[in-house]
Amino acid sequence: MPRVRNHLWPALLLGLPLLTAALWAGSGAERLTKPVRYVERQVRDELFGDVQSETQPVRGPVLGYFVGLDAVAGMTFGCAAAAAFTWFWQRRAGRRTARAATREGTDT
Amino acid sequence: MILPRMLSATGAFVAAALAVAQDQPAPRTALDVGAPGPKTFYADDRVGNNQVTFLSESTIEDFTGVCNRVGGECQLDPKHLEALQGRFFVRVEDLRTGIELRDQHLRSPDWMDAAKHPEIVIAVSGATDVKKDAPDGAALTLLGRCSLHGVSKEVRIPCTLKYLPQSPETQRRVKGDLIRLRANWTVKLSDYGVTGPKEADIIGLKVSNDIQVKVSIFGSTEKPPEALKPDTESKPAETPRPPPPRRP
Repeated sequence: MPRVRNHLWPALLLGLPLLTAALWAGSGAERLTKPVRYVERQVRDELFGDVQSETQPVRGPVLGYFVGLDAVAGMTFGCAAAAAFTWFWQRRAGRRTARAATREGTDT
Repeated sequence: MILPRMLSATGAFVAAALAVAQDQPAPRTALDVGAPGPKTFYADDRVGNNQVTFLSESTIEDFTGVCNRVGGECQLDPKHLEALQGRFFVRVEDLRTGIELRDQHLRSPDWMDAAKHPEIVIAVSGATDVKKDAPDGAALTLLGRCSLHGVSKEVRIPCTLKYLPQSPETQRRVKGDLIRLRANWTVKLSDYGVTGPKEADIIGLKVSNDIQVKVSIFGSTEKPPEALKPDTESKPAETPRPPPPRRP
């Protein structure tokens, strides 16, 4: 269990940006996150006897949104910041432990 | 004796000339539809989806905007398309781009300023370059003025027109004669003083200066029950000028 817990946080920090990037690619690779995208569709008009192009709104596939590059960038920066904070915190904790161990060694 | 004869001869000549003029065939641009005479057509959503689409392609971002509420009317004679006249409009608050924040920016004073200039208007004063491409359809260039952001400029808009006189098929949708106008043209935002926030350089980077506009307008001679009316109420009330300071 401790080994799983040790790997969970780095996996999360790496996986979230990858997941967001996958959702971005899967939802149309938009530049900005948006709920609606306008798509041109050809609609046959029986009365006028030809094809009419109409622009219709399409809802996003991910919880009603199209994931944009802004979300990918935000998630990547957020995870990078969290990773940096974790690294600093672990280094500080490691140094503190090493210092305590050294102190214990000199005391004995 | 000579004068009365001359007068009667002149009268006969004028009468003959008028008769010839009346018998003259309609111009080649006249549509072959059995509905002569000018008629008023109203933008009517029952006939088809009235829609204005605008596309901005810029360095960072492309976006499409839509307005599904188009109002207005025009006078049209299928035998004399050059005399087409009318006025069509959309409200700035009805423009949608898919992102609510962008719509708010669009309506803001930095862009379209919907509070001061609530409508975008195309006033058509005539048509030229009429080319009949079907018995009931023609390609033409609309002449008129486009009013946007408080600036009015002359425009030439290439468009296609299709005319359907009343028939059992058309009556299934709406009574009366029906028309469809389709147009594509480009609007330069800088021509109308739309520049975005000052010193932000958004034009060209996030919003194109050349907006491609595509319009489909369906009209009927029967006035729709709920026509979009020109906005006369949301114009800002003129603020009274403060009195000049009194000098001691």
